[in-house]
Amino acid sequence: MPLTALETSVKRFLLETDLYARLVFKTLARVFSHPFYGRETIYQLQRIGVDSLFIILLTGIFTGMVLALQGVTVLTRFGATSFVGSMLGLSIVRELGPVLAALMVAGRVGSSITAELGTMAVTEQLDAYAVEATDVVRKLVVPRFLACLISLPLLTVLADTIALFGGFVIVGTMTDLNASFYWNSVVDFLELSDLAMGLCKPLFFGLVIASIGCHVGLRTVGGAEAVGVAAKRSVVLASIFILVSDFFLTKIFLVFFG
Amino acid sequence: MIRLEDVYLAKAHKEILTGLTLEVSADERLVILGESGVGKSTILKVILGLWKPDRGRVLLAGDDIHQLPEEEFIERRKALAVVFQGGALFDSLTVGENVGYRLFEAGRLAPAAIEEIVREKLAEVGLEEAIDLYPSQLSGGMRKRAAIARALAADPQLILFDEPTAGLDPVASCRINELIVRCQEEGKGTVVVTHDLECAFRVGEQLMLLDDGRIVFQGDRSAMESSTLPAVRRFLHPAQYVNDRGRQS
Repeated sequence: MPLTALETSVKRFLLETDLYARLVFKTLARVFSHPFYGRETIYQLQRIGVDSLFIILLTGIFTGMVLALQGVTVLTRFGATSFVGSMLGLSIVRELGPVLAALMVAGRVGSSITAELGTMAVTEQLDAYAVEATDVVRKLVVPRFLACLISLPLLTVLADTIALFGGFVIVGTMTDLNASFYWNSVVDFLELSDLAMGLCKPLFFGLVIASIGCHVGLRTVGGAEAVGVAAKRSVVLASIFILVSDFFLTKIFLVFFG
Repeated sequence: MIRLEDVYLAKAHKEILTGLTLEVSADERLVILGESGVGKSTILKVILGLWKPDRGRVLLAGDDIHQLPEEEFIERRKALAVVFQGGALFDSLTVGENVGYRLFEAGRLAPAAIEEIVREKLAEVGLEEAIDLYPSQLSGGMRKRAAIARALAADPQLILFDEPTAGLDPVASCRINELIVRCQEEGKGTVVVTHDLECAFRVGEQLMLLDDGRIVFQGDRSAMESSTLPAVRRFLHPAQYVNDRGRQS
């Protein structure tokens, strides 16, 4: 790659990072100040949270079922079938629930946020908001940001619960373990730090999905094709961010809570 | 009211405005003409503070808008309204909500009073029936008329029009031109950016021709028609220019 092209890429990356960081700080600053668009926030909660319910529950139940299927098969070889509940509990609450819920929401909601804001950008609606003396970040970004931040932990809790239920169905049909033993083994091995990890991660992932979705959407330039490209870019970026940050978040949690 | 001083602006390594100087008063009836891509719409974005020039100053009521505190600038910009090329109506709001948007946001008037203003402005542009429709349910011409109603409802001193007749049939174009004239008769200043000569001659007192990022002609219609400047001749008689080029090549 010629030096000038490399230079341009580095400059562009730094500019994007700078603009992204500014957007996040602007948004956080506006969350706690007036005016607050309450109706818009409730509408976004419905679109981002309630409307994602079906896909999250579907993901959760099949993840729990397949994990239990694998768990029972492998643990039977070691005569440790009784540990399947605790294995499921720990892996779902600490890792799979938050990450899978976040990836599903990134695909469904992140792309929709970007496409919506991108369309507004290319049809000059964002300029029109500015001319009408409306703060675009306050009006469009904050409600989506809050909706993601509130919805994702709740969706993750539901995904965890339904995944554990899916595991229970498989364990119940493939082994002799009874229901109370299964649920007790799930709960017994879970510690407060596991629950904290399982709830803090979706909060961070919610921030990632909303901020990347909004940043890429607001920066869209061009026409319909550009909106499509932006939506795809937003999903890819958010998914990568989620997977990479999951590693570091887990590392931090393990350092502090063991 | 607005003054652009020696403004330079480049986008994606392309010079768009190169030393543009221009003054617009509150009662101006100005038309900025030029071929597509010469930077006409850019001038409006610079005036509105949406794009910051690389060099030069943009003065609104005597002060550089990029030196003003943000709140002060937003307050002063309320003297301006804009009709964007595609209308730029907010998709999620009805036509009525779009027209009354600035009034609703300001929160100074009761909803009933705002609705009265909205109905009055929609009646002015012949869209009273469309008050509850969404922008996606309107034709291109109706969208532009709704955008004009939105601009009028904000009660600005100066309205900026970006290609108001682009993409419209002759009847719809004529209707838009008459609405612009009516805005002028109501005492609003207008700055119209267009490449449509019929529109320019109908609504403009002062005509400017933009070429290569700067103003190459300024005057009224008769001065323009009698001008011998090559850029003006080429713009007024493109068929002749294209034929000459064809014969030369």
